[in-house]
Amino acid sequence: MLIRKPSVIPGFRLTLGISMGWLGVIVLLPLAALFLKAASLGWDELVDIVTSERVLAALRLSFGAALAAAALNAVVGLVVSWALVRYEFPGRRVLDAMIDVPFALPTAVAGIALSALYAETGWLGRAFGLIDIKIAFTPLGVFVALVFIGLPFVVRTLQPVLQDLEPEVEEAAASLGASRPQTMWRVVLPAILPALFTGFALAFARAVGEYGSVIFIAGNVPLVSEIAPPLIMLKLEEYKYADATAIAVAMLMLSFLLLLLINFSQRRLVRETVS
Amino acid sequence: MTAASATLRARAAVGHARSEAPWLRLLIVAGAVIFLVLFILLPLIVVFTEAFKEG
Repeated sequence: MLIRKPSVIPGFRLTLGISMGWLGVIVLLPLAALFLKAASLGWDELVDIVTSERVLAALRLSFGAALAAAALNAVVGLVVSWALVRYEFPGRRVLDAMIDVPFALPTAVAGIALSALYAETGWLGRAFGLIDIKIAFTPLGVFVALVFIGLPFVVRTLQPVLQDLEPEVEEAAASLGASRPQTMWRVVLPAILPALFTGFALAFARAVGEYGSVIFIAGNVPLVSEIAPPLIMLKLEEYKYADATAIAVAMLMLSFLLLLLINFSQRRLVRETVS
Repeated sequence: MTAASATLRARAAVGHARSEAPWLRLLIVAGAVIFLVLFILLPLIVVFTEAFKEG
């Protein structure tokens, strides 16, 4: 069809070719190599590695903590971006600038700072120690680190959307007799829901693959506070490349499935709230 | 008289249409500030105090 009549998009084939070629070289080729290496194991061996107790525990912690952290970030990120966009208060600009700190700080530095803060001798670690909560070297520490690095993803995707909300829409809702909670629930929330989901998905994706900021505060105790990426590093250091790729493939498939699920529920929820 | 006060009330309602009750506003701002201080400012301060500990 493209050949028979001139396309409405000039240069479509060239640009599509460049996009696909670039995507192939940057994304698909390394992933294909990963699958190829993992395939050298054979199915039984691959299943054995992935379902070993230590790997399963690490995968469970990685994905569980990432989901929990992204969920908390979605809620807190909404409150923070609402406060930053809608209200005027002293220190607002400083806080707004501070949001990007987790982006800018090298993850290893963030990890060391967090473990210094939450270790039993650290400022917050001591405070939590008084109520018998240990954060460093426990799954809770993993969660804290993932909340830290995920927050800017939610806030920075929500802020522009909140800024672009037309004031007239909320005023119209109010003048038609909607209470403030009704306006929030039926007018504002549907408008920002896609961005909220995107922020959640971004924070989750980043948290699943996070390495630097987690390893120090987690302590990587096998079966307790070990996430999957350092386990992959460990296999690499033992020259078990195929084992490492097996875990990587498992992580990849799980993340892909979960992101697909998030996208799917985003579309469904948005359709439901709009109609 | 009643019509005028009704209009006034309606206008006041629309004027507040884009804002929350004062207590809720305070709660949102306080929550945001406390969270950011605990989760972002404190680690940032620790980075500097650790860096300058040795002088």
